Amino acid sequence: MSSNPERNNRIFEDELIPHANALKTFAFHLTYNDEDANDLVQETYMKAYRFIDKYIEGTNAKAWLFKILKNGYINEYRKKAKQPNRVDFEDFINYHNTQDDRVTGYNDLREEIFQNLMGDEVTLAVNALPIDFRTVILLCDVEGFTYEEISKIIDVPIGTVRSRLFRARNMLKEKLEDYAIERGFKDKRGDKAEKEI
Amino acid sequence: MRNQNENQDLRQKINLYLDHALGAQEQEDLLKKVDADPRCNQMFQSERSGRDYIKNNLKKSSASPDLIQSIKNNIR
Repeated sequence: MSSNPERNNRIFEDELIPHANALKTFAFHLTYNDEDANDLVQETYMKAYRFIDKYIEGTNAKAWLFKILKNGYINEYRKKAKQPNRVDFEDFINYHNTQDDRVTGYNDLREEIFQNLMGDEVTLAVNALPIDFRTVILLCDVEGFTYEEISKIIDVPIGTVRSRLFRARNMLKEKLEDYAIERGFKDKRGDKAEKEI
Repeated sequence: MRNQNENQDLRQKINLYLDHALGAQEQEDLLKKVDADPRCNQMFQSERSGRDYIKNNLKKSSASPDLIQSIKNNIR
């Protein structure tokens, strides 16, 4: 397929560049660092442009870009970052995953908890999540990708996406509740909590 | 115990709905239940507002004009 610079530049400007802010936010919450996030976003667009002939106009540019960025992060930054060993964590996840996608034990994030939070705690709580949990929260709850899109972006089965989201949301709720308690929130419901509904 | 399982099932359906992962019929059934039952409605609103709170309060980082220009310069 011969390259068409006019087509490529149009696609780049109209379909790829508009996702720069979303990519930057995602990169920032992966790297924790504005400079590294900028580099990651820049690198993502360079790679996207290199393969832009393969991109079909009007298809899912955002998911494509996020996949490129995620792969770039894995390749470059995990090697450098001082994070818990991903292989050990992946073993943990695989051990606890089952064929049955039913999930139990949802934590309840009650509205009164929000009243005791300032807002910064959300960023702290999300950034405190292990990388695989943080990624699915960012992709689903922040960027609104579907399970199928997330499955393709991070290259895991849809069942794994669901179970990671379930665990990630519970962990997030626990962390936010901890922050709220530090700020004076008291759960007055006691043992009645689970029996109310 | 049965009540707890029903709560968990409902909460799971609500999360699937908010993730746009429920089929059309299941969506309709859930929304009817939410409309008819105040406690289901409360659970639904709680889950939805929790999601909104997280999305609205997570720090966002934008791509500066300099970054965008640098990207465009590098592809030329």
